[in-house]
Amino acid sequence: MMVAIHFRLAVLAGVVAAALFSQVPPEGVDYHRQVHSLLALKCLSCHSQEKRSGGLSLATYQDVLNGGRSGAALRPGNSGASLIMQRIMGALEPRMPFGLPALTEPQISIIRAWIDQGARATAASAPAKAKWEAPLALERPQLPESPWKNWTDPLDRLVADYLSKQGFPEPQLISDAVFARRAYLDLWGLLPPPEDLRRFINDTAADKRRRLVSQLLGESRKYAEHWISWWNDLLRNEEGVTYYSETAGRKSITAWLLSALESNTPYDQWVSKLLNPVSPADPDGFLIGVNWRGTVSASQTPALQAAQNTAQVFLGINLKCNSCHDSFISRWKLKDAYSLATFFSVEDELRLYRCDVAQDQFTTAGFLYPELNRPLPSDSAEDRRATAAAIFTDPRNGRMPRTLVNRIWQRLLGRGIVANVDEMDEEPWSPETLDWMASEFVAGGYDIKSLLTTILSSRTYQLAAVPRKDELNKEYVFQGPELRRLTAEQFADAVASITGDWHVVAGGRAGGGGGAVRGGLAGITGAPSDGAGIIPAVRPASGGTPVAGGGAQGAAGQAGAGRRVPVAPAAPVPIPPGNYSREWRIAGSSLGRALGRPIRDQVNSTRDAQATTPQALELVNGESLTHWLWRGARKMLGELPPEPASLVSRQVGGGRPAPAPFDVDVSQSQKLYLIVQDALSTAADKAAPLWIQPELVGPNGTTPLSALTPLDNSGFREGSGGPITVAGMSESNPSAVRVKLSSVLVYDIAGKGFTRFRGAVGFEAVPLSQGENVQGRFFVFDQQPSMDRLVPPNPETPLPPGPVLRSVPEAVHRVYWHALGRAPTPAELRIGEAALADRNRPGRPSAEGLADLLWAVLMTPEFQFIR
Amino acid sequence: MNAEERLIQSIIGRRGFLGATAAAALAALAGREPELVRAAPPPATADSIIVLWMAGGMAQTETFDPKRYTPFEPGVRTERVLSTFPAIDTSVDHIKISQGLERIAKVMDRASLIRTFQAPDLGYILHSRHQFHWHTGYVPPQSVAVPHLGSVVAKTLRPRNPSVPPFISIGQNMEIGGETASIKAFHTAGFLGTEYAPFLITDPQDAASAVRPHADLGSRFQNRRRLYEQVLANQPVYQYSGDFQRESLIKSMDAADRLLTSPSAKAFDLSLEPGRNFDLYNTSRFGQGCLLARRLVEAGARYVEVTTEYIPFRYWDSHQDGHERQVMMKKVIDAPVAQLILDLEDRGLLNRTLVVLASEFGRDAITEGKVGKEVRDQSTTPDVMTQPTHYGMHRHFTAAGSVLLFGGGLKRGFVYGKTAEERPCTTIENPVPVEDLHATMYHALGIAPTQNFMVEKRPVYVTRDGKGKVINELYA
Repeated sequence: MMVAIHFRLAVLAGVVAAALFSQVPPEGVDYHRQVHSLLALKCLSCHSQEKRSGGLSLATYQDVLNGGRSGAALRPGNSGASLIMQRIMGALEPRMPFGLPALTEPQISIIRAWIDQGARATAASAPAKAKWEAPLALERPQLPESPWKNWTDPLDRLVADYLSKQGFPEPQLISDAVFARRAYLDLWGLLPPPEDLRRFINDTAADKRRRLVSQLLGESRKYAEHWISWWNDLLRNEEGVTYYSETAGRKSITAWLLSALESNTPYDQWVSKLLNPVSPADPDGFLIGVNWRGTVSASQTPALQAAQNTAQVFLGINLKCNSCHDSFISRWKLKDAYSLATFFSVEDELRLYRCDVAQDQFTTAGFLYPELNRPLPSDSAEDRRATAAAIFTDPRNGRMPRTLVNRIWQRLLGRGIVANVDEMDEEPWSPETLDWMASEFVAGGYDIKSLLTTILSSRTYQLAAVPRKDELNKEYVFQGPELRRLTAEQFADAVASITGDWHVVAGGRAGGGGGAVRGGLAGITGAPSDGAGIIPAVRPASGGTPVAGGGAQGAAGQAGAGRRVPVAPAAPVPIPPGNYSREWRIAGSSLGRALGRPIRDQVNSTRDAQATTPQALELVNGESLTHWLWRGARKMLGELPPEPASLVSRQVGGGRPAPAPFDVDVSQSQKLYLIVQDALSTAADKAAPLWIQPELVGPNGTTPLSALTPLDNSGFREGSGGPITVAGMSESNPSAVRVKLSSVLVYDIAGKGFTRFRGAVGFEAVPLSQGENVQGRFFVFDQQPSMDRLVPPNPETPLPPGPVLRSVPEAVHRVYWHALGRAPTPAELRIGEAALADRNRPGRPSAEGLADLLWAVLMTPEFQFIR
Repeated sequence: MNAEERLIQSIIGRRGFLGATAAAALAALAGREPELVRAAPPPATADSIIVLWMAGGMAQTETFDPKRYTPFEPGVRTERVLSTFPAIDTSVDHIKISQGLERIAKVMDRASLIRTFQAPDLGYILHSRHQFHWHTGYVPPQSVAVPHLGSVVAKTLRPRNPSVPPFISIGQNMEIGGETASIKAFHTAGFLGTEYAPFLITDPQDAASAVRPHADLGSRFQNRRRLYEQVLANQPVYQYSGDFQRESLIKSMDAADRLLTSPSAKAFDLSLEPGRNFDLYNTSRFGQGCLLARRLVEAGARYVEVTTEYIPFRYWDSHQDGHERQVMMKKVIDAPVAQLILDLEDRGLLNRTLVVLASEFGRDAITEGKVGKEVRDQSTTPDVMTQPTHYGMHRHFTAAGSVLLFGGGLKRGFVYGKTAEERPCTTIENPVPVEDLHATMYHALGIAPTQNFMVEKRPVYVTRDGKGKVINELYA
């Protein structure tokens, strides 16, 4: 507000001054002949394209209009409000030309007249368009009358007014089916289940679209599990990804983020928590940033990272250039970045570094817009952060709500009202629409769900999607949402919901995280990490300290002198069941990466949605999707066999290093699968798992496991050649089979008459440093298990399963309705039926054919784009 | 937009252009991709590049920069030992290298050897961080996602053969425990977008399966493709549409199909290599990787990297038992590296292929980092050696390291840079920082060190701040 008033006074004063002091203005001033020559003579010694003093070049017509770091040099048609006039008149210090005699009155009057005549390129050109200058405060517009009868919501009135002024007739809205698909994907990130979709289409209530939006937003868990990916991109949050650092490499804020989304925490409080984490549950990971071991560039200290990220994410301001030096492309200076950084530093004064060279210059905490600065209650770091939070969320700071509204608009409509969501100084295609939305957002208590409701309920959102044309074309005219590509998470969740085959994330971790398990031996993560983490060598054996890895040759996989010693039974550590999960929890899957899930080391405000060759390779031939569809098709037909149950499951390590014994019945078993997986070891490379004293009991006594040969010996680990010392076990050098931390040994025991398999599992004792731990999970199966379902998961799935498909036409219909939100055409039905026909079982759909049809439909643009 | 892109732009909407252009050119049209600013490119002396990555810090005094040899004896002071191997003669009179590299010694007359590569100290050595720096030219963390060298080459030069990925990375397992995230952080195209991401092959023997229809599919692969075409052709919504986003999606599918069905896919299949040739390379996965690199370059790959693999404390990362580890690692690299050079030469490819063997830094028994710099020590080497495990270069040394280069228009039988004969054996002439090494490599490929990409309206140069200087002395 203050800013706006000052600005208007200045305009008024300028107009008065112009009226009083101007002489008769020259008629039709010519820029090139009269103005340029004058500027060249008087100004270019400092304001050339090379020197750009104050960021301003006056060398070309366009340069003059572009202005410099202080903003626009002139306002066409208004010389009094033009900075260049205030400078050459001396109304604003320093007078220009700096250090030289003032311009003469005739010279001044040429410039004044040129500006007042519209600052035209030539006398015959149209008046210049004023350079856009983004206001700080929100400017709530008057709502225009709607030119169209049904466009009555405030947002629609603004957009209808815009569209009709652009010359468009009243546009048609999308169909119910297309709307539902859009709304489900935008609010839940999931496709509408076919039953729900049909019910919605058949619903005759006039307000059914509004009700759908409200119903979808009402299911907070589903909403949160969609939007968390977008926030993770913005806030650089990645579960389970950390870097070596002397302090904190990185810290997850997943648990906080999930709960803030679920409880729809008002956005101003949200920003406050991120800028000023106080309680242990607060998201301090955001300010900690991403830190690697060793010295870093002065521009990448945690405090500078915090300045860059808070400015970019919350204000749409890019401080990256000026974290090193004064920016060449914006008005921001080195000291601006450092002043903001001081709010987030433990020091109350920061020394400036220019391109990593220390300067004899210091800053204290200060905001980018000095008019919002507040006195600091004390020089404590806590008070600085609290003050920063108060400034960012100050109601006079229109940048904060405007930036968020624009980001969400971009997420929902494909392109921001300000096209570049990280450069909020750029011109919106409708400043009125942006500021009306932002004003409503503030007035409504920074309610994000309410903002989503406003947009999704509007006719504007329900316009047909427009394919992207030339991104480089600056003259953008809004005609409706842009055609959007499904995100990696939406794509994968669609596969899971269509097939009912969800991935499993290992259980046992508080909060959000849990890592990937997706077939293969990628390694289970998600186990509790208690940090105690030292596996002590209870009694080091003679002959030196045992070490991890080892170089000298020992008999691979076999070990120990072979003395059998009893392992005292201890209460087994229960392995928490995993959970069926949506894609966002699956870290680092090749499918997710290929489809554009970013490495979140930097702020990612816009994902690359481009179709690429590596991505298509992953879709056409990747292990994960191919296998997933293979399983999923069987699941849809009720033909996926249940997961085998384990005979043995034990967790060892961390704070409980004692070996865990087992003794199980194998009288019915044909094969034995001995599996070891990592369970979030921080020193996985030092882990040396063991099957201790494993033996099979038969009618003729016991047979040590080492007497049998596995089908594949790649799971064996070479030992040091020395005796084995087992962590948490006092007896030295028991017989044991050494295996790798992630390993599978398969033994064929068919026809051998074994009745029991017994032994213990544990780790070799290795020296570990502070903070290091090794822990693993050991399993025995007698049927081949799914590697991500070694422990039976909790039965609950993110969506209830669909019906088991019995007939071929039913299956084709299901695929089209679920994937595309519509029935197949007769031609499509014929194609699908031919693909699903099973020669061996007439009338029953073929699982392979169903996998192929699913794949083919998933590859089409109609599936991968949101219309 | 360049002329080519303008041309494509002008015909968007016509289905006819589908088969005409590379997927990469289409990617540029998305508009979100950073604009490439070409600085006046030097004439290229190489079309392809193979980087042989000695991951974990290769001890230069044990390989390509041998110093005075001291045999192991209990009681010898660690500081007395500069090399744990004697030097051997090579095919070039004035160049000696370390024992255990006899085959490479025979091809030194084709090599340019830099002995004065200098890595930064960064206060505290972390292998993956230095590797990030070597592979991108920038020290993490960075405020933008900087791309891997291979991605820069792929983006700038595009594929030589559209059926072979332009950037292939062989041998690095991406799940390596504590430094997993750090290793992944630079195996990426960063802001260049996934079109230029590395095509990752962990095990060379599995390479064929990466470009062969999936085993679960078997003969159904072609059926699937036909079904996809039928489904696509019959979709009522998009039948007559020529929109760019959809076209590029279809185009990417075509590109993948071409790669999977092209005769070039055979290059990935090591089982097609005659047994004798395979044996010449088969010292290890690295050796097989060298063979695969040769086959891929023959087929038209642009940038191929083969690593000995980084896993903390493994392979070249010898914190103890350094001498024995060197024996093992030299066995791993000696034959395949030499054979790769001879094979490329035989096939007439060496002149137009630059081969670079490098590591993130060197090693020393005493100095961590550089003398006089504050770098925290991470080794527990005793002052006096009592057992063979103490014998070797166990500390990270950044003041000198060796880089071996072959072909690609560089001088042959040439040594650049000079290191001291006595500890700390530091660089005394012609230091080569990473940006100068990169500038020299890029130069061979016709890429100027000042080439840059406009990211968030600022230039990000292919060598740090555009300051890399080409080492002209290396060029013939």
